Amino acid sequence: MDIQLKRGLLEACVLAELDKGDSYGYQIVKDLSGVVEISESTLYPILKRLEASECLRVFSVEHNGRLRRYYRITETGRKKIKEFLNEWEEVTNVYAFISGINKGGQQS
Amino acid sequence: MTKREFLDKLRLEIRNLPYDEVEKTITYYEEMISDRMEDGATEAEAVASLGTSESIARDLQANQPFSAIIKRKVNDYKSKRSPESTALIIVLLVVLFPFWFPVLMSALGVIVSFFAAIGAIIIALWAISVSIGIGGIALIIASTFGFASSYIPTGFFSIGIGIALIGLAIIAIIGSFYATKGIIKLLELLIHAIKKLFVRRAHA
Repeated sequence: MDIQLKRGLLEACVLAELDKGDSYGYQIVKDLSGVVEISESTLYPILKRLEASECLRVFSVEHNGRLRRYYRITETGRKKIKEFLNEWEEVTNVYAFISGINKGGQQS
Repeated sequence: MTKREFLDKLRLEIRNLPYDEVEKTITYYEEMISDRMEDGATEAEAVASLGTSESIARDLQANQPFSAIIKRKVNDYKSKRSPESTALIIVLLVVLFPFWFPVLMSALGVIVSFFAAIGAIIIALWAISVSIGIGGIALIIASTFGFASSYIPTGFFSIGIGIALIGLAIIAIIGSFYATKGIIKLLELLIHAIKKLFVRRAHA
């Protein structure tokens, strides 16, 4: 998959996951692995970017004698999800158009 | 590999990044390994699942600003060379100055003119849009002279054209805005691609 496209998809996936509730790195990877191909190393720059663009906030919680970093979605993050969904409505239309042409080609 | 070994190796690979960046990265991967182990993985499995520290470092470097990458290149180079070979290179650089200097200058010239050309396109777009708008306003003002000198149809004609031009200008300004955004995005992609090229070569 195209890198830019995948990056956008993953950002939206992470935001959608956080929209359900606060979460931490490993949990996010586990929850998303059923939806999209993601690893800890691909998640890290995405979390960094989302933090820099103020789509999420980071806070630490003590767990088993160590600190775990939790991520919480912000209003900007929720707006970003909406933007993503709006954009993809357009993409889905284009997809329908492209696959429609392909079907037409097979029939004729 | 143990968690400690992995984190130490990673720290070494990314030592050129800003200090807090290094700490953040180490904390992140430390947490990932601990969480995986809590989930039932052995230490070795948890470390192995993260990929190599080299590839992690390479991706992080690619996201650094250009200046940081160049600095890292220079430092890498310095640490690898002995003083004698450095002296030789300096002598060669001086002796061969007439050969490489024009090449360097023309390369710089190409880069500068590239950015100048892109800047000029953006400025031209905005200038055209704004001047259409100014033309429209001027025509509306001019129409009052038409009314004043009792050339009524001319006055109406001027107002009509003036309003049309202002409308056109608004569309053109919106167009210029998106075009500027698009061009800047393209430039970012280009710079990112160039940076990736540099980083890949370092580890090849």
